[in-house]
Amino acid sequence: MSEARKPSDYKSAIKPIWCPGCGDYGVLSAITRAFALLQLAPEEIAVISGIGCAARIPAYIGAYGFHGLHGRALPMATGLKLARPELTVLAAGGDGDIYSIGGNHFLHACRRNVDITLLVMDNRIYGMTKGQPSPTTEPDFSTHLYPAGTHLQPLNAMAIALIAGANYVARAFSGDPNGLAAEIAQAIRHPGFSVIEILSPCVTFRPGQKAWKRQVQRGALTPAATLPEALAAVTTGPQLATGVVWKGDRPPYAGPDPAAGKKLQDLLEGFAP
Amino acid sequence: MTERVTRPLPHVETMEDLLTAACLVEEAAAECLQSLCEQMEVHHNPRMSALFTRLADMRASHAARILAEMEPHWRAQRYRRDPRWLADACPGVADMDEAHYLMQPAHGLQLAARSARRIHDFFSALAAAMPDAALEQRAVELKAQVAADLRAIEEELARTQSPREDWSHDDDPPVIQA
Repeated sequence: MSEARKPSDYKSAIKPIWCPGCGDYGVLSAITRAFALLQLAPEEIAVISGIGCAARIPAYIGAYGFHGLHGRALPMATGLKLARPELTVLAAGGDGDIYSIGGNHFLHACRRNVDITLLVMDNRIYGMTKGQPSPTTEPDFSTHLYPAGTHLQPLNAMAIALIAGANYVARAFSGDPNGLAAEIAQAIRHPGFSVIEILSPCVTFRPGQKAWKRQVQRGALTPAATLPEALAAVTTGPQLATGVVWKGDRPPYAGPDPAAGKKLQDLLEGFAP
Repeated sequence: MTERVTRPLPHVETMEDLLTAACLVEEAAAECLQSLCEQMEVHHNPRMSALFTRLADMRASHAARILAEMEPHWRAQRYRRDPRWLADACPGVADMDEAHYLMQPAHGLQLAARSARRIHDFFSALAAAMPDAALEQRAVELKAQVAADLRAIEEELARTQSPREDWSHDDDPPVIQA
């Protein structure tokens, strides 16, 4: 039997420049373990991102990758998956990139349900630009821009993902590399649009998040039988509960009907000079 | 200190199970220490980078020896097991959130000692749970190997200067909010 691919086989030669202690190192490690678990061929994987600390991740993975525009990971990943359905496509980014700048794309990616796995590394802050509040920042968290906090309700992205139609919704923790790897592998296997919100501490601008390793309730979320039950779990349940909350069975969108494409081609040819 | 929550021990019935668990634990510990080495290199702390390289090599050499003992098809299968089979938090994985770009050798050795202690405790618990004498014997050997590493790390730590109180002071720090 040939030697199996190891997690390290999925790492690129580029060394991450995240702050020492950043949770994103754990996410990178878990992604490579998930790929090794599934024994995916590196040339059959693409990791797509926008901008931000978390969005640097494609550079550190030894597979195809694209580090694109801020907030635009999902439209790029959608286009790629529809054009090359045989690829395993992951989109990755932080809470600011995906939920704020890319918020509109997040909604429609959930609605379209293309077979993509989205990893959101949520640290509740804009880290790369030195600590501005993000859509998931707590209302009373003090920053230089908002010394008394924003007083804004944090976005409950998991609830939004459920309402908008994501087919697989989970929360995980970067400090649990084995559990996270298993969840990423499960999300990749599940057909349709999968969202994993990963609690990934920013040790520089949110040092208090180091406490997450004691506060996270591993496995407290379990797959709900109905959508209202899943919504109840993510709206009224503990904020640091991890686990899979929803495994839907909606068929993934795989692009327009080929017959429609033929009609379009006929139309275009009709206008050809 | 070892506050992380772990699931019960992996279900070990055969030598393949035991060596797979041991190999995965050592490999994960080595990967983690290697990552710390790279973090220090990128953040211009060469002394710590060298220390973490040495500590990573220690774990990687154990992984290589265990791997050499495994049948070829055991080796090929080891990454195909559900990662949760081993444990939630892999015992050898260091507390990565304690890394700091200005960290000192004593911090690195403390971190490595905690990692080695968790591996030791893991092998110790495994040895106590083995279904037969041969497996128990091998688990005890694995435990003894890590105990030797732990002693070496603790001896080096005893010879290492304690960090100054202001070790993390930076004249040009990132803008810490709040």
